[in-house]
Amino acid sequence: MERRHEVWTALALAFVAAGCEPIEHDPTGSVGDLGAGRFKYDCVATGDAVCNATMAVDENETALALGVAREVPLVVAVGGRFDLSFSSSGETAFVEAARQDVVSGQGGFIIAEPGLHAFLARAASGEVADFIHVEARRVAELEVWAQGAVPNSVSLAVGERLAVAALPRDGLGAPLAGGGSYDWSASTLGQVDIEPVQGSITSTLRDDEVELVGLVEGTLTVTVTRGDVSVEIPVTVTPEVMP
Amino acid sequence: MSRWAVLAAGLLAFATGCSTEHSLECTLVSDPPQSVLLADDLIEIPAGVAVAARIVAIEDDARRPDRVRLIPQRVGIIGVEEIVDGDREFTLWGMEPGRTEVDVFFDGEKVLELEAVVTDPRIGAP
Repeated sequence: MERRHEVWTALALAFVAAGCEPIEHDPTGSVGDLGAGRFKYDCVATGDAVCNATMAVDENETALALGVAREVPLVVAVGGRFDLSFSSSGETAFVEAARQDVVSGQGGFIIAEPGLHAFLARAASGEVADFIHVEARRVAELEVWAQGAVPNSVSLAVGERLAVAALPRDGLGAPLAGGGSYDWSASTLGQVDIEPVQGSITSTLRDDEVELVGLVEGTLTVTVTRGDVSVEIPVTVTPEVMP
Repeated sequence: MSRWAVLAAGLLAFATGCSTEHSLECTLVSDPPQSVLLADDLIEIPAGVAVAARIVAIEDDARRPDRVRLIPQRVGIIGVEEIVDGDREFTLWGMEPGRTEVDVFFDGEKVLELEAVVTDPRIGAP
């Protein structure tokens, strides 16, 4: 009887110990085609819609295409810079592009041609641990977002700051990931300031997000350009709001 | 039937019986996002696409446990590497449009060649 009791105690302890073992569970990134590990997306350049600092773009609207929690986006922009890493249980692997003739691997990846592009996670031995495909498409249009919407025009008071963001889309309307360089300009000098996003050290005037600061009442047009694609948005600066 | 015909038939049967037939049994184990042709003597894959396949050595219609190695003759057209912890599984990927032969080794001995064709994905693309 005593012996049976000892067996049951040992079994119970083993059960508890198994339950207490740390379970390796990393929900970030996207599972590779072989299911051996997860590929993770990293922003490595300014102007990547995946890593915006402001709430100008409604992330719920773009989450499916651009991914969340370092998921690999469905589509990246041709010419957009990004990086991928790979992790699996205890194994290290470096990521390389299947097509090195059209995918640059310096400081992240830049895809020069539209289409499907496989990325391989390779172990030090050269063997392949896993792979994933990313589609590249050209930027066909830009949208200007402010306060979670795509307005026909924006309005701000003298002294007010308003975060605005440009979102690149392909010819089918899908948002595109991948960093790129933007040019922001105002049709009238001195009426608004175009400044980097406050509090973000990665933000520059070449970013996809900027802040407009109202200076002088009136109307003007702000233009943002990425490559050979531009969009204009009318801006109205209203009188200063007194507290 | 003349004696020569009988002799020739016998020699032919003897020769056929003595030659070893090598081939591969190739099966896709991942879903390629674009059309990939994987036959026992031909691989056709678009540039930029990767696929996983189980490749088994066949000798005289029987599966063999030999370690298979695949080495493209031209570098930079098609990539072929074994999968980590895979059971005779390989990843094949199109590196650049073009053609090459792929040398097939069973346990270190070259036994046959496959033809690999890497297609240009822009051709026929919308």
